[in-house]
Amino acid sequence: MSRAQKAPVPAWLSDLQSRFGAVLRTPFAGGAEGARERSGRYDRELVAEITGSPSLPAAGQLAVYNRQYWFRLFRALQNEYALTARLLGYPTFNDHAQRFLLARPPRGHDIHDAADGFREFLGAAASEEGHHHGPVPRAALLEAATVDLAFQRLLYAPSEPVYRPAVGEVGRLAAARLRPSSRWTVLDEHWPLVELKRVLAETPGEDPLPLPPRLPAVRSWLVCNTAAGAMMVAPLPEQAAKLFRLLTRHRVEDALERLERDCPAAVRAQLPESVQRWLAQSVDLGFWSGVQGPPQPDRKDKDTANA
Amino acid sequence: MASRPFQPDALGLGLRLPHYRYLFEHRPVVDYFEIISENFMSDAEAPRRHLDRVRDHYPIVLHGVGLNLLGRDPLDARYLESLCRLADHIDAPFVTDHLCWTGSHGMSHHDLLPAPYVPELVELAAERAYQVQRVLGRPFGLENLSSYVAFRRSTLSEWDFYTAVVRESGCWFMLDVNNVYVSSVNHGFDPRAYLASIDYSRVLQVHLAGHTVESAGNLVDTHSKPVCDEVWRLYGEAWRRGGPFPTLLEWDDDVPEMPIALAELAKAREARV
Repeated sequence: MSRAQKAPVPAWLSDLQSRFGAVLRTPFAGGAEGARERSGRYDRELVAEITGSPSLPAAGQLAVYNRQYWFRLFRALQNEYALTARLLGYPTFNDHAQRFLLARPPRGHDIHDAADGFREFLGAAASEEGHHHGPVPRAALLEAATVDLAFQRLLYAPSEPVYRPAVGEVGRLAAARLRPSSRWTVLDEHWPLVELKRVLAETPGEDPLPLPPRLPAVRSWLVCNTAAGAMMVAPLPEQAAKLFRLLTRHRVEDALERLERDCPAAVRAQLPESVQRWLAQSVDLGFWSGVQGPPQPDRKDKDTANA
Repeated sequence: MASRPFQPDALGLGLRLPHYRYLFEHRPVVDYFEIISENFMSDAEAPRRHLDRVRDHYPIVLHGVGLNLLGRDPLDARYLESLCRLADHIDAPFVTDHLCWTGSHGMSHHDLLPAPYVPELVELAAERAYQVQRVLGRPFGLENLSSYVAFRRSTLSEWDFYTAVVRESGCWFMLDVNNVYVSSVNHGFDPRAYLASIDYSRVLQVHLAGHTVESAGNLVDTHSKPVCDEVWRLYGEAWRRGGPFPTLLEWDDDVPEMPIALAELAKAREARV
């Protein structure tokens, strides 16, 4: 079969799809109190184009698609921002999601991408006068969204090489800068939200979850996809969190110097041993995808070593 | 063109996230799995790792929801490229998507949307489907929709439109019997007339699924329930008209434990008599 010719796209098709798209995006009434489509707002020319049926008039038929559009996207955002959605409760969360999606309709084929930019949108919306986010303080709401975003990024982290330094390379690593892989992150929290995120599945529902009391001090977590493919969530000592962050921005020796300089006297004595252990763990867990800068390993140094 | 890639009477299941644990622990007997193409087209490591584990033990076919065959915008070349890479990676026996549009004017609606059934869209859809199959280098099947609206502009029946596109494109039918039933109730046509119009020598696969009855009596293709009795009867009729063909169960919402889904799938054998 030969199909060299190019079939034209009829002009009416473009017009029909534009009108249909507008119907899909027609916002629900009373987003926070319950979803209800507003079929009276549908494009009249499109409604006239639909035949309807005895049991369901044309606008009612279009409403099926209008509902599906919103519920599918609400669900996508509820999945991506599961913790945020539960803290707000679904009706309030959906209200935010609807305003976000009206401002930024999805453009890619991957529905996960529909949530791109939602944290920033939420941050801006939470600053607005009269913004509705119930009893959840703005800072806690954004912290929850940050936790959600971090987990999602790890879930969709691309495949990257795992860097394991060769034996002869270890001594020269000080002058190098480690290239972080995207399979880990360090999260700081002021409310115990990481733990809450981990147990969300045990308390299914759509009503708002109570925000746990604020922590007496900031707490850090390591969240990573291990090289073996498992998601690991572990509390992280303050100095370890600092070290990993410094290593993403500085050469190894500079990072260590800064860590030591700012280290409280009470933990300074144990710091060298702790640093060795944390570095070894970071290599084992596949935190680094390579090195930038100085010395390339000697060809003869083929064996790998712990950092 | 390759012929049917499976045993003609193969039974497959739509692979969903809640299935992974059971699948990897028990490795049940299933002839093949179908995945949603778009869930595996990114460079994300975790989904690919799961996919590779499944592929080690089962054939996998691809089922897309984002090709946008009847969209006013041209086919997305980057999307097609990713689809080809995925199909090559898992050596998919065939690839399917829907005879519909999914977005326009640069926006993606993430739904399977109907278009009027007119000859000029037969030409457009057939040309694009032909291109897709050519680029994929493997059989490409087109699925009929569940639809909730009908257009006054239509001059062809849904089945005349569908069969014309498949015939003109040289592609294949991905016949969804539940969709035939859902649309027949929503639009008041005879589903048996639909099944009678199909050239079963060009059926790549048949889909089965459950649907939801709304308060107005219209049906919505939710894939959230077992297959209803009337759909089983229609499946039996399709089988008598043109079987054997590979058959796949989709269950996307309120997904049950895998043994329950597999038990539902196994009912297909009883429905064939």
